[in-house]
Amino acid sequence: MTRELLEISGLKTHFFTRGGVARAVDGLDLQVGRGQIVALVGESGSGKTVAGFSILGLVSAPGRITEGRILLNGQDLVGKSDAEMARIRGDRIAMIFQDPMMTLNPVLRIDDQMIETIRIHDRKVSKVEARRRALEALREVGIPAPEARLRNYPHELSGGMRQRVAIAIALLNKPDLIIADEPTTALDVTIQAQILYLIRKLCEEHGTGFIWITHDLGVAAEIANRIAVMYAGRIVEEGPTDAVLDRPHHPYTEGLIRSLPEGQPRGAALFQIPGMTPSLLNLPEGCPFRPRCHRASEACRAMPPERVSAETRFRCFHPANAAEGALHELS
Amino acid sequence: MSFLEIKGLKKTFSTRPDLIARGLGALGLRNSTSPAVHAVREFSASLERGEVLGLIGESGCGKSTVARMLAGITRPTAGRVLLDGHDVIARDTPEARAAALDIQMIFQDAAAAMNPRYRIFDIITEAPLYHGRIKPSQARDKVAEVLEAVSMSPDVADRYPHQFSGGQRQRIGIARALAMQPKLLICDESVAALDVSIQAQVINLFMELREKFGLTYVFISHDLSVVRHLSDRVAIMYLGEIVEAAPAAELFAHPEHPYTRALMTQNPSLKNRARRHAPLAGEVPSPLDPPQGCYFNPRCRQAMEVCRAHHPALAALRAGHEAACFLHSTSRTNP
Ligand SMILES: Nc1ncnc2c1ncn2[C@@H]1O[C@H](COP(=O)(O)OP(=O)(O)OP(=O)(O)O)[C@@H](O)[C@H]1O
Ligand SMILES: Nc1ncnc2c1ncn2[C@@H]1O[C@H](COP(=O)(O)OP(=O)(O)OP(=O)(O)O)[C@@H](O)[C@H]1O
Ligand code: SF4
Ligand SMILES: [Mg+2]
Ligand SMILES: [Mg+2]
Repeated sequence: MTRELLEISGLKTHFFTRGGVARAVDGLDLQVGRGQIVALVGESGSGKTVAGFSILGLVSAPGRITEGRILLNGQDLVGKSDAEMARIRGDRIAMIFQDPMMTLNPVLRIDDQMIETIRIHDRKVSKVEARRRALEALREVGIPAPEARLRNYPHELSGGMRQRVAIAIALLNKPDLIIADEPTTALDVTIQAQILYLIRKLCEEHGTGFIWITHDLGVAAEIANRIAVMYAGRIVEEGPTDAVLDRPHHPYTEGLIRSLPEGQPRGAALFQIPGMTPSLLNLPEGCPFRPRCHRASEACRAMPPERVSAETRFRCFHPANAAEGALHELS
Repeated sequence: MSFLEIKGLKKTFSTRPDLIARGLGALGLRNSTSPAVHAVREFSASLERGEVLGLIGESGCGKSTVARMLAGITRPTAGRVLLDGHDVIARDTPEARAAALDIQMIFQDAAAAMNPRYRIFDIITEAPLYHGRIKPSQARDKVAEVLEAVSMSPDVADRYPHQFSGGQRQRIGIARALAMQPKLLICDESVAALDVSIQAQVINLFMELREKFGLTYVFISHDLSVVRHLSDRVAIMYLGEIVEAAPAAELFAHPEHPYTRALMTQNPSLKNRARRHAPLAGEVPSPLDPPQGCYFNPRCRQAMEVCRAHHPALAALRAGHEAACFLHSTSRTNP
């Protein structure tokens, strides 16, 4: 069996609040292979960001990982000390945030922050060598006139350029895995296209695994090899991009795709998923999507087990686009 | 004359350098003079009652500045806005002052524009009471009416903003605008922050309100498929000016400006799987220092000699379809 770059199984990250236990991530299974881009999509509040933070070891009180394993190259990250995780972050795993200023220090020049990032992880690299690598990274992310840009402060760059610098910083130590949380939501279409192109190329060339958190299905369609759909702390459907978008099994995935204006006649009423996102403190029993689901039956009062079709895995008793015989319970 | 006439709107900001730039200036590391930002160089459009004008453009091209000028929040450097024939910028007659209140704006982040300590009732009634659009005795009924228009129960009036989801707060923001009995709604990225499933609710709501109240909209979004879905006319902006405008169906079927075409091929779409073609190169130029000639020329794959020397003017290609580009012979110069 070939070992995946990242294998998450049964991950639970809960927040112990005064109002009760918020099960933000509640039994997450996810694999990412080398050079693979997995889009993590889903409702606001479904636990995407918390899942990313769990991998990075950045969950803080009142939250903690209560169960599960996160294997990176076969090594379990759950239970590692803060110091060990700090070493792994930025060395083996890097993060790109929606706001590049989460990564960039406003009072440091770009070259200073990049050189520092390199030398924190390897003191033996000389300043000259680190500067050369910083320049190379800026060139890779397509920054024009990188020598001049190295001497800039973050506020002297446009939003799109800052995000590319943040990406360059994420790449500096050639991590195995990058987690990006809505990295292009604030950018416009033409700049976003530049970044999508760049990341796809980098993953192919360096074999970097990538988790791209987004609620934009169009972006997921363009960049991802696989799509994982989250609802109320779990992955409810996961598979190759084409299979998930063209033949979704889970009614939530189906609803998401149907509610997009793309492909609809101009001005037609859009499909709406009825109801509201459930409160994590008060999830319905059984399938958490049941109160909003048009396919729900009595059976859905129990938690649906994970099932597999030829292409995807999903959690639903009454999947769409499926010949019942072709589906199997996953034992 | 059309219901809404926007003529030669302009806005120039004289920038104060930000704190860091001023600090560096004081240390002699950078010069700290205050250059002028031509946020909106020229914006003209007209719209009939009940129509939707979609506005698309790159970050920083001046869309929000146009929106804020229309809503009377920012004073234009030049230009006129006529609603039903009344000048809502000059506001020199009682009719014009009333017409200015007929224009309401819905922000990207409705929650940020709400006082967290106010109940929904007060949030909705504050402006219409202040401007005398409703009497205190009518307030309860008005609140119930506008909440119903956005499919919410009148009971929510006694709750606070934090007790609602993002989509619900956005609807409350719309209810608040409706309480002013507007004729023109300016929506600046009003669905951008919403989840796909909630976005569909809000888009449907806009379409219903248009049917029901004959509302006219200026709708700003960077999502091309949302603009296509809602708009009758679309204007594409680049660096402070319109580079193409046409009826929506026509614009999406026959985009003529290279920037519009780039937007359309690069708009993320469910149909574009694992796309590989190289994107448009180059940066959006700064309004502080626009390139000579056509502002798009440094990024344009079809740029010619003339594009680097002269600035193309917006010109009609066919009925109702205008573009500013030298690829079209009608776009003669304007140096
Ligand atoms: N510090 C915290 N204390 C309590 N609950 C928290 C905390 N952080 C996150 N949560 C809860 O965990 C759940 C998952 O949040 P998360 O930020 O992962 O959602 P998301 O899927 O990233 O949503 P979005 O698309 O809006 O970013 C939310 O319901 C949130 O309220
Ligand atoms: N109060 C201000 N003072 C100085 N410059 C301003 C001010 N408001 C806007 N600008 C500048 O005017 C230009 C247009 O800004 P505007 O906010 O209208 O752009 P936009 O098209 O709405 O962008 P986005 O898509 O990012 O919201 C930008 O260069 C901006 O920096
Ligand atoms: S005028 Fe020239 S540079 Fe500008 S968009 Fe047209 S072809 Fe390109
Ligand atoms: Mg998130
Ligand atoms: Mg804006």
